[in-house]
Amino acid sequence: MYFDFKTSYNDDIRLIRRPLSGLFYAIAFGTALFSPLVISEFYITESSAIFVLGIIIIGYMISAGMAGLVGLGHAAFVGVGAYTHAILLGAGVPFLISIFSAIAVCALLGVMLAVISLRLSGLYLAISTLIFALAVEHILGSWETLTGGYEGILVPDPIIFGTSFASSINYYYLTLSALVSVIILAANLMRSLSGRALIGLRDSEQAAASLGINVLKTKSVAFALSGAVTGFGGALMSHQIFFITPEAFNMMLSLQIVLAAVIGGLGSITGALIGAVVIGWMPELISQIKALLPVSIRYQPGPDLVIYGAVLIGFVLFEPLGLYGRWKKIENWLLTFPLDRKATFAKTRTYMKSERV
Amino acid sequence: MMKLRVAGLKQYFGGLKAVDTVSLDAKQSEILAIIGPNGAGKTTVINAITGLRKPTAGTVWLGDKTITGLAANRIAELGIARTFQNIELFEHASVLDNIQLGFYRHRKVTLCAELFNLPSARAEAVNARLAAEKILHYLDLVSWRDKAVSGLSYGIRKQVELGRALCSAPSFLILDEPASGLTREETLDLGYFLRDLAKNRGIGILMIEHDMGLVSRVADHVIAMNEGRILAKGSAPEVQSNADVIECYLGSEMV
Amino acid sequence: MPDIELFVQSLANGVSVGAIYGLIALGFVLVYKSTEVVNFALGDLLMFSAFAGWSLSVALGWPIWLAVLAAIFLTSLLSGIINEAVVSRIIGQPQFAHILLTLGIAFTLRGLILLIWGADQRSLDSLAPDTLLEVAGITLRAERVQIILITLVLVIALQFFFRKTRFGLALQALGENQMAAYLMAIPVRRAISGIWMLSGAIAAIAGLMLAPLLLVDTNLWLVMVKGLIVAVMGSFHSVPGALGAGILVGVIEQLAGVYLDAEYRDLVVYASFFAILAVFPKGLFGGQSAKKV
Repeated sequence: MYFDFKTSYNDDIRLIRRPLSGLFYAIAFGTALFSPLVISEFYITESSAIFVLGIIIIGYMISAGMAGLVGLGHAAFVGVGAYTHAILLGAGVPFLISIFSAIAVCALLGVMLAVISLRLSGLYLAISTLIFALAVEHILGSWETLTGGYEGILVPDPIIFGTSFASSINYYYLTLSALVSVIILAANLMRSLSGRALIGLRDSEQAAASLGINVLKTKSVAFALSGAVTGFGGALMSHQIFFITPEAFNMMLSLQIVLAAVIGGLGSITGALIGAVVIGWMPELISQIKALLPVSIRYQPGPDLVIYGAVLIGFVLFEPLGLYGRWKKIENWLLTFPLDRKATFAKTRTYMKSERV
Repeated sequence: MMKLRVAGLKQYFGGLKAVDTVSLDAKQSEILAIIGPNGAGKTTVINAITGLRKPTAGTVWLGDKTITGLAANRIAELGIARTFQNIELFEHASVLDNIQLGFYRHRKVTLCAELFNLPSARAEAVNARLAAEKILHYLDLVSWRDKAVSGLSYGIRKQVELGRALCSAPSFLILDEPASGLTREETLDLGYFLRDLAKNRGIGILMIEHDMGLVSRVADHVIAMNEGRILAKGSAPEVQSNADVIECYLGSEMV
Repeated sequence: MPDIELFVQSLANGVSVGAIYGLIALGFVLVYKSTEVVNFALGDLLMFSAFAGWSLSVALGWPIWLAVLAAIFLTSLLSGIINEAVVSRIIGQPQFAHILLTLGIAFTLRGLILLIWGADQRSLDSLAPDTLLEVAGITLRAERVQIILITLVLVIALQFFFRKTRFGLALQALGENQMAAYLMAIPVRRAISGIWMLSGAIAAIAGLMLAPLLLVDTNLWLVMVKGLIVAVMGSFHSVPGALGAGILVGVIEQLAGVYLDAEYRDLVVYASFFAILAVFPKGLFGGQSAKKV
């Protein structure tokens, strides 16, 4: 058995609430900090990509997991973040100013999405974000004077105060520090009243309004924050792809973001990170699987889609709470051993409940 | 002493006159109960007061300020808290989180301070927690503190919803059928809490209730409504003995 | 070409394309109304029907009418199997789970189609003869007229089915309250599978009419987006709603393509989608708003 022992309300507000988890975070951070000294260049690059994905998925989690604004078009924010950053860098704007401008533009885009989908929720919201992302992709493609159209544009190297972060090891530390800052900001949001207001919005708009929460403003805040974080990830991502085209930010990317959130489990930072790791390693995994396939179909795009689809179906059917939810169940079992009850997470038979309003 | 006044409130849905010229006065430290059969327009009245729906005509004052047609969150900020007939809780959050959200209208820090967890944000988090703990103790909900709301029994959920409204430290509390679905003991407890809130804490309570036992025990004033109109006003015994009210509840042949 | 003739022709093109969009939307609406699932795999079912039609008529050399009928049947069957095997397992879970599940099915189907048929483009013949018809001085392609006629017949038949037949009424009841329908001895499970098969068949008809206008390739599923736009505009509600909104979108798209730049065609559709949602958040045919408390 394990007991939480607390002596003040501040104990509950701390980010690290148990000595054991403190140790865990320290080990994780230490590993992240020192592993580039031992692992190969390939893994350093892969890890940076996963860090950036982590930022993007945390951004998605803020709107989808916390505020319940499930969107299917977050690639739009990644794309606009990447393009704004690349265009400004290309125009000679310093890195930091450029990246903060990209964040600001994406926050504004989030507010814009909130305004046009102001009164929508649930299914209509999901569909309209999907259409929104298609429209953004289309605009990126056809605004040739600014974005270079479907030919794409080159992304200049990241140079901060004269130091180049283009080498894989420097870029690794750049993305790692970005990820850590985003994690801390998101964790702060989750323990604040505003964060709880987002949750209130998700569960009952009427009740939220009756407590003094401005529903429309809070929705805009959720989308703006989510857009800003996702756009930040997009701006960093642009340095990985060197040459960006609108197709890099198509529906497939949006769905990968959703998939990652589902695999990890919506609504927790740990879940978002787990999702990022899995999605980041998915191409590698798929190529391993494809190596086993007959040569005739080994080089086709078909198997990728089948595997992505099967993973998504599998998680929805068997592990709807994601890997983080699975871990929570195991943790609960360990902490309550031997008093574990099967019924804690048991599902009851359900009928369709209308979500139509 | 502040008053919540409603004058000439009308709410039409197309041709249906759900509420037709209703006026009422609620004072702080007093309990005003609205009774009436289903479909009398009681909930429509409080939805209009709390800003969930803009009334067709009429005025609502809080003190000397007109609050008619303000958005629901603005009205909540002014100190009117409410509960819902069918319980509107944040199902996937804990009891503590639900009650703490009641504190939202006292939030003073900016989003930026919260994101960077500045000392002001931390102090406010502790304040919210303190306010919520007081409510938890007051309503005897301490043992449920960290439970998710979705798994709790009906009576506890009602308590939590009341607690969430109380955590906003309102000057007026509007309750939509607070005793429906409660056991006899829970109803007795509720009556005690309502008296205490009004008499010792100075909160004005406006409640819709069907349980006449509870109403006659706690209410200072009673309003009986039927078909969108007020049938009778007065103390509980007066209203209960009113001929129109008896007719409305029992049918005319019984009189 | 005189202006008025160009206008009427693009109008007719718009109506025929819009009729197809309306049918796709109808495929969404049917399943949504009975189970509140939006089947994101519908675009891929549609694509499957086009590929199946091509295989049967071109590769196997079946007569086109037989190939079309067989493709409709196969798609309908596939749709029913998808429901039985996968979707029916998560009845009662939140809408989000259904969206993800059908997206997963969509990916899998698309991947399988790519594996079976590859990424090459093919062309499929239409049922209608490749001739021009002269209607009131305006020349129209027979193909377009055939699309409008088939859609009309189908819509009228569906209206009759839902309004007059026992099974149709039972399905309507299912859409209102699944639990109550179950208690009224309506075979809920079988009825839902029936709905999925019907929805698949309608998507197949849309796909087989659309394929001759475009090409049969692995981007065909993208037309699902237009179907979704139409379904939302028509409030996910009724047969006439879907058809009306479909024709509106088709006409907007064609006119934008003719009178603006073809490049802005899709953008204009997206913009009008958001404009309409801004004014009617429940779609053009939506009922009351706001949850009751």
